[in-house]
Amino acid sequence: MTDMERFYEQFTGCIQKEVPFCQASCPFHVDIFDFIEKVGRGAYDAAYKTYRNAVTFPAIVSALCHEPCKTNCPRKEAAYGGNAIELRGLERTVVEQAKSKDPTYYNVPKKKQRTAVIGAGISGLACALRLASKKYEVEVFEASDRLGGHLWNIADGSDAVGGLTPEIFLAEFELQLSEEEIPIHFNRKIADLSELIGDNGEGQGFDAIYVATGAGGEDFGLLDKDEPILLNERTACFAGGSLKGKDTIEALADGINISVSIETYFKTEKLSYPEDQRTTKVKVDPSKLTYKKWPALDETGKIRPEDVQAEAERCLRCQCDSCRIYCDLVSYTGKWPLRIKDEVQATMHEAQTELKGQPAKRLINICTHCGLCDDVCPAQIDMDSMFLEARKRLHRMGRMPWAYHDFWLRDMEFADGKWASIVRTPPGVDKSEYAFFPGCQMGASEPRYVSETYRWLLSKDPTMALFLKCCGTPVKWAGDEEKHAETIYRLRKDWESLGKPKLVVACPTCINNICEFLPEAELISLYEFMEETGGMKPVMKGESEVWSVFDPCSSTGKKDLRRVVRAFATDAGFQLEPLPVQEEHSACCSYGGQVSIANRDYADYVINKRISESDNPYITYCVNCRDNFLGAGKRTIHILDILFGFDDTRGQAKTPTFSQRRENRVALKRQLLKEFWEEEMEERKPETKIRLKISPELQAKLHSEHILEEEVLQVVAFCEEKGRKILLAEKGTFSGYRQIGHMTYWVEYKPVETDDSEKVFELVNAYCHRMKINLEAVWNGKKVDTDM
Amino acid sequence: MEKKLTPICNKCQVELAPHDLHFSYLDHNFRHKVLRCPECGQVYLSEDVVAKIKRVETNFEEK
Repeated sequence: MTDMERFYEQFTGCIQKEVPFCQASCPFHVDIFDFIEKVGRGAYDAAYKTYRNAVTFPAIVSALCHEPCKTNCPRKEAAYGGNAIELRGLERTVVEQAKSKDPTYYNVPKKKQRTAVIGAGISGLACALRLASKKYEVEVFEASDRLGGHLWNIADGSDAVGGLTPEIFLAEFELQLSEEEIPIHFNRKIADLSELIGDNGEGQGFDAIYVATGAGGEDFGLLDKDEPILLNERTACFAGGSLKGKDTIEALADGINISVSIETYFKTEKLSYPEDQRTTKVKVDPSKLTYKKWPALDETGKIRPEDVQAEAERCLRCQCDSCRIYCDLVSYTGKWPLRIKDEVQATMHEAQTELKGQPAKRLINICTHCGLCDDVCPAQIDMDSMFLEARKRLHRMGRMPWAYHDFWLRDMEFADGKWASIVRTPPGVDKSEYAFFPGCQMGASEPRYVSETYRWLLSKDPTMALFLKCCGTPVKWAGDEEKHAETIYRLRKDWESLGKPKLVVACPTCINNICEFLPEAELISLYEFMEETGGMKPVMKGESEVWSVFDPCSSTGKKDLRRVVRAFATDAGFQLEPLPVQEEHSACCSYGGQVSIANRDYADYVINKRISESDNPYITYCVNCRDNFLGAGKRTIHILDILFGFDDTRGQAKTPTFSQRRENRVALKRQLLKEFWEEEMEERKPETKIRLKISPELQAKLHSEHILEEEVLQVVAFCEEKGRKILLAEKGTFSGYRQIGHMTYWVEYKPVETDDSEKVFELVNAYCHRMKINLEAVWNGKKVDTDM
Repeated sequence: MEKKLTPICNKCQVELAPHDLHFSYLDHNFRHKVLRCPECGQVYLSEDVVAKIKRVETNFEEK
């Protein structure tokens, strides 16, 4: 079994397709979701059709049904309403209100098989009508001179039978049978089944017989048999309905089910009685189980017209949909786990040809790896790990679209490179007991998060080392196993070079990654370390304002971390109000899995879902949550803003662009080296003498398209140096492009009048694409590669 | 209406003209007529054209 097959296996436990309790216990298995949806929007004609398709004779069933649907309805619990959903009440309303009740005529070819039904009671008629509507030839043999069988004995118009009278059921038979031609032979008692087999004088005999002679009727020896029998090696005989001791409703359902068995026999020669599954494994997510009052019925047992919608809305739509409630990917795509599994499986198939397509490549790359799926799924299906494994496999097969992760890998490379990373013990210290591991994004967002925190930590432990590097999560998310192993190898070497210190880690995602891949390194979260060390007095005051702590998805399983962050916030004077979904059910801010390039729309969907959980401003302790929420206009602060008082705006700070994040990292390293190691870092200057002016609007556009200003500058420099540019005379601008790495960047720019000797240009526009322009260098044989 | 000025190749000082350009992405290829310099082959893709190319990229990613 491959790794992926192990993941596919777990989907066999998925219970999403299990039917609701009411539908399972209903003899007709009425499609409740369909019915209730139609009732809810007042589409009574459509609801009537759904109902009739299941029960065959709506006017009779809605009057007589003993409502087994109510047995397991969760709404009958006092805590959720105290009364099961009044499905029969709704059905009666539908039967009464529907305007169009004419049966549907199915224009399908006539079938050659013939069925005889013995008994024109409710069970026999249901079976006959079902087969006739599928254009099988059916004849009914009735010993008496009327339709209805035992209904005549019970339909006294009383409340006990829902007011059913012979007029009602006869009218119902007339209506429902009106589209089919079914010969009914009255006063024709069948004494022996041999009358119906072989040549009966009207062509061939019958291929199937349904014996529905009612309670105490002639059974032709069928009641002794567990299975239907074959006569003459051709004619199948079935018995059912009241003859088998069933009540009216069950007898009717039996007739319908036996029509299916007869058709199965015609098609496959398989001879068996219907299997009637009345159980379900459905589970309802606890979050749906809230109290809703039930509207009382009127004196005739019907729902009052004004209450119909409320009653339909009261229905919980019992199905296992925990994944859709909690998993952003499932709710966004609208795909249930089994479909997701099928798409992933198709995409992972080794023998995949170009023609078949790989439907899940994007899907695999939009999982945020928050880890909620298996926590909330009753079958504990772990889609998160499946997607991660699928990413690795896509990468191994060379099928991973590079664009999904390229930007983040370059970002990581920069964070780990000479301009941004620091792995050092303090001056004069050879070996540190502790090292501060801020993670690669903190200093990019706000350099003081790293510098001020390190200063505070040094005041508590002067031997504290600084380990400013990326933990390797971006390569893990990219599915690049080789690069990930290299990253972890270097991380381990760096850790060893510091004397294997205990790590004080600020980022919860780094904590997870280090625990998983560098398990020999002891670690503690920054905030727990601060609490243990003592002396941390929050600078920012909460002033009794009501805020909510947003727990990042990577805080799952970190109870102490969640507690200590709340303790600091409370200590600062914030009043904390819990979010509806939090703590062990923390979801991702959209940063996880670096999904935003694979699907920007999805990333925005996730962010909006998170920030809509409460109107309160958020306190978080993951800098990526902070940046994502601030970027979407949500008031958010990082817990370090509270501890050190960095944010004068009280949650409305401006977040840096991707270009500024690089500058922040460089500036942070320069400052740290100067302050703590008394070293000057060289200037990071562009290789060109060209300078580019970029308006704030354009900076924002570059940020949103993941274009770095230094890349744009490289393109302009290339165009100017090589003269490869187009004059757009209309606008007085130049246009040009260059491929850098995988991406092709386009610039539109114009010269700016300046006094000094520096060449200054103003950027007018910039955009990029993933598509590579082929053979440009040697177009038409006129150019050689070196000219590019 | 004012006539749109045709972009000019800065190197060759000639007007660009429509010509096929070949693109590739994730082992898929396609070609499209775009403005190029008839002399040196330099290309001009406006942002509108790039927006169309991006839609093709999205399709290729799902193939």
